[in-house]
Order: sequence, then structure tokens, then C-alpha cells
Amino acid sequence: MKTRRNIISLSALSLALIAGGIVGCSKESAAPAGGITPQKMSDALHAVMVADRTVYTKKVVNRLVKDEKVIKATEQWKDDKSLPLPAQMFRFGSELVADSDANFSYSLLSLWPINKQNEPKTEAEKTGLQYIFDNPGKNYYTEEALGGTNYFTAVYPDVAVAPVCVSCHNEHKDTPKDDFKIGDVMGGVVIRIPI
Amino acid sequence: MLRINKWWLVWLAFTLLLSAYYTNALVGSEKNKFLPGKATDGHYQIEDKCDTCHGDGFDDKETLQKSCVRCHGDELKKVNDSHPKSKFTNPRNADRIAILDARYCVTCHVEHKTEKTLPMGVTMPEDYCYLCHQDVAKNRPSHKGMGFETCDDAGCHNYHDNKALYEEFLVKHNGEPENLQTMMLPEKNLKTVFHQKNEKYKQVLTPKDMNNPESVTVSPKISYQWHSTAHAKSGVNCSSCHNEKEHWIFKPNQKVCAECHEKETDGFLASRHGMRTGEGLPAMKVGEARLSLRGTAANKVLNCQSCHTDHSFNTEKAAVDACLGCHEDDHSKAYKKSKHYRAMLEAKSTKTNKQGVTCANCHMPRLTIRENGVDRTLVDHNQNNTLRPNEKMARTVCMKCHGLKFSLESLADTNLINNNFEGSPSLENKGFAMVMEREELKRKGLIKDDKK
Repeated sequence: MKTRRNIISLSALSLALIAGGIVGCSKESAAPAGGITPQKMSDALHAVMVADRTVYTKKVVNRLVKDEKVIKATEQWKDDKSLPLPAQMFRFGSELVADSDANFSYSLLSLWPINKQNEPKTEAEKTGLQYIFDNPGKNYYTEEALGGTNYFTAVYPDVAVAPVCVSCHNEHKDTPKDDFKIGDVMGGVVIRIPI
Repeated sequence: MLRINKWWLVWLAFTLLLSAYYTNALVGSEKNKFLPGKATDGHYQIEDKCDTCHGDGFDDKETLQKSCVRCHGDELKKVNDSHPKSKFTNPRNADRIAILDARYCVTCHVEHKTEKTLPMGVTMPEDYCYLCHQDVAKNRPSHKGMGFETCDDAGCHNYHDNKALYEEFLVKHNGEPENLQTMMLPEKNLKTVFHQKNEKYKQVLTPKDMNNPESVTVSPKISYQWHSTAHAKSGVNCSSCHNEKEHWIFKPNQKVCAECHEKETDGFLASRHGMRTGEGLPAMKVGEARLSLRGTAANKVLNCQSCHTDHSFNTEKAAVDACLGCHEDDHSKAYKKSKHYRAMLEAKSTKTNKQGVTCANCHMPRLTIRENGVDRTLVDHNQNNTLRPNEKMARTVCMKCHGLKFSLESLADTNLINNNFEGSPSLENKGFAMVMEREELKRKGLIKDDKK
């Protein structure tokens, strides 16, 4: 809930500013008077997402599953009465935002997805995910047209921050890669803002 | 002098009469004259009330979507809908929704198209899975060569509800016997919940406590029926149901029942039995149903008392006799020869803790809902929740007594359904072999080689 509130508040503020002045942007689009660029808005959204994601992964899942060993985190968390996996937690937030009128979207993709629906599909996703893998620590920004709408699209690296990330992915029946290490780029967060 | 051709007068009169006829139908109760085609089996009950689905306009997709969600949204959430709208609103799926717009229910489930409506009661595209899952065989070699029109074959996959069909669930329940060691339905516990809620429900009333006004005579039969019920044993007196704002009402309706049985009433009002009442239309009569039901019951009106006859409110009768009083299809007629019924007779005669199975146990199953840490087991009065596709019944109903594989195979066998499960399933669910093969490959560390 907190993630959702933060995201929606921030996006509402940012979108109001954008509506006030932005008429277009490029990869390095200039800030309109009194507003912020889509890139700044996207970076801010990502800062909230990655913070909440890291907190949940380290302070909830890794602590209770790996350190305290008091509960499991599983894909079928409802049936298993366990914790949702960090990636699921992230997607649930993304789906709630998709159900609102937040006017931006985000997803978690990977070059090695467990669910094949999460492999890169658009050219921007393919190039962006490869770029963040080849250039550790850097983000990828571009624009793309999808379904007749132009989007500012940002791709941010999603890094393995805790032992639970790598063990779960390496051991999963459907993983195409089983040698992830802490600190590796496991995938990317893709944020899209219509422009 | 103005001369008017008499045919013009005839035309004018005819036009006026026709206009009056259709205007009357449009503002009256015969709106179905304007239906572009028959409504589906799940909607014909409310077809006279166009605005239930269409709102004020007829071309607005969003209004239709809201109407679908208003009635079916909760049901989809409860079953963890595998394909919610939010999966398709991301712009990365723009190419897919340009072909099949899965954000809207009506893309697949079109109304008023009798010629396209399938036996399950809805229209569906034939191979809709293909668009997103065309390369499934790459990661699931076992699926190689399977047609996309077979994905939703009984016991394999459902678009919405996969609660009993997902891989880990099959693995977990693989190898279960046909009949489980413990074959028990959960006990209903409304009385306990109410006793915990308020001390007044612990009061046991007797006929001398009846608080009907002097002007109302209560027959000995009614008095006996009432004091034999859970109502009298839980402090529910005459006035609890018959008094409305100090006025005596002879025939309380479902609103009165809902004061204590809210969830059950909500289920009834959302069901095929009660949806007309739920939409503010006159209650459904048995004779108005599309199913071929008993002619002798044709004039029976469907409300709470149709099955829970006042004042005895006998739930055993409501769970079998009430159903068979109207339904006379093969499956219903075979019930009293079935193992399920025989088990019930045996349980009654031996007074052991064995259990039989009533019509309601399967079609209006007992659900346990946890609210604020308290479990409430109640009867789901909306039979749609477990009706079609019938695998929805596996987890909620069959698995209380039977293994998952046996349950899915039985539900997939039309002959078994018709004879009310007398015999063994003739089809094998191959999903179990597939998932166990993957388990074995994983155990041997071979699963990734298999995918290359």
C-alpha cells in the first residue's frame, strides 16, 4: 500500500507539472518552464520503486526466509501461507497502478525470465536490457511509439541485492540461467510515460 | 375541399398503432422485443432490464465493461484470475490487444449471438491462447504438437480460474487415492459465530416465549416448526423476522433474511435463482427458466422460502428435495441412485461421523472464509461459482473427499456426470504425467538441457 501511495502521489505531482508545460521530449529533453522532464519523473518513480523493492527483499524476505528461517517465500504464497516473492510484490504494485489512472506504467523484464512473458518484446526493451547488462550502473532512455502513442521509455538495471534473489532464480525449474551472483544485473525495470 | 386518399389514412393509422405498440414495449416490461438476439443462459433472466449491462448508452464499451465487473469482478478476484485486465494495459502489449483486446470481457464473450454461444453458455474465440503462447513448446516440450484449441480441454487450463490446475498444485496432489482417508465437508458454524458475536443469540426460546401480536394467530404446526429450528435455539423470535418498523409483515422477503444471513443472501441474489430479484425485477418463476424443469413446479416463485420452507427452514430438505422438486435432467434424476446419496442414507442410519453428499454440497458448496482471524463456514448460494467450467468444482468441492486426479478425470467425463458418478472415469488426465516428468528432470538436473 505504501509503495502504491508513494508512487501514485509522486506520479500525480509529476504529471500535473508535465501537463503544465511539457509538449515533447527527447532522450535528453529539456525541462519546460516550471516543470520536470519525463526522465526526471521516471528517475524519481524508479527511486521509490527500487527503495521499496530493496526494503522488502532485504528486511522482510531475506531476513525471515534466509536468516530467521521462520517462513518461506513462494510463488503460490496464498496456498502455501507464505510470503510473496519480491518479484511478485513488485508486479502486484505494477498491476494496481495499471488499474488506476496513473498515466504511466512499469514492468520487470529480463533477458533470462522465469516467465517467458517477461522477456523483452519491443525494440526499446531489447536494446535497453542489453545496454544495462553491457554497461553496469547505467540506465537506458529512449522514446518509442506503441499502439499509436509515443512514450518516453526508461530501462533501469535490476540488481540481485540479497542471497534470496540468486538462490531462488538459480534453483527455479524454469530459469534459463543458474549462475547468478549477488550484484549481478538480473533484469531491468522498464518505465513508460506517454508524451 | 381537401381530399385525402384513404390509403394515406390507413398508412397513418398503421404507423401510429405500430409506434404505440413499440413505445409501450420500450417503456413497459417487454423490452425483450428489441433484443438483437437471445441473451445467453446466464443473462436471459435479466434481459428485460437492458440498462443492467448497457447503462444509458449502447455503444460504450467502458459501460459494458463496468457492468461485467460489477457482477463478475469479485468472483474473478477470488479465484486469482490468471488473466486480469491489468496484464494487458501495459503499452508493451499494444500489438496483442490490437488483435485480441483482452482488456474487455466482450472481446471474447459476446452477448445476443446464439449461433456462436457454446454449451458452456458463453462465446469464445477458438484458439485465443496462440497469440501470447505460440512458442509454448519451446519451454514445455510435452506440449509439442498440441492444438491451441485444446488448451482449455477439461482438466488442462482455464483462462481465468486455474486454482486447481497450476503445476505445483498437481505435483503436490499427485498420487492421491480416489477416496481420501478423511472424507469430510467442513461443518457450518453460523451458530458459533453468532454466539461469539452477541450473548442474546445464546437464548433458547420455547413456544411460550413467542412474541407474535394478539391479532396474529399462530397455528400449532407453525409453533412446532419454529421451536424445532436453530432460530428458536438462537433467540430468534417471531418479531425478529416479522416486524418491520413496528408493523407486522406476513411474508418477510430476502432483506429480512439478509439481516443475519447476509453473505448467503448476496450469493442467492447473484445466482441464476435470484439474479432477477437482485436486479430489482420481479422474482423468477420456475416456468420462466430455459432449462427443462418439472411442469408441476412452473408457478413456483424463486425466493429464500422456495427452498428453505418456512417455518421449519429444514436445510436437509433444502439441499436435496428442493432441488429435485424442479430439476429433472439425467444428472438430477440419477442422484437418488448414486453413491453420494447412498452414503448419506448410510450416514443417517448408522449415525457415525460419515457423510453423504447432497445436491447442495456440490452445487452450493460450503466455503470457509477467514475474516479478522475468525473462520466462518457458510453455504455459497451462487451456484455459478462452481458450475462452468466444472473444474472450478474440483478444489472447492470434490477434493474434500477425493484425490485431485480422480476429481478432474471424473469432472471431464460427460457420461459419469449424466449418471451422477456411478462408475469410474474413462479419461486419463495427462497433466499429472507431464508435471511429474518435469519434476524428475529437475531432480536429475536435466531440465535446462531439455529446453535447449
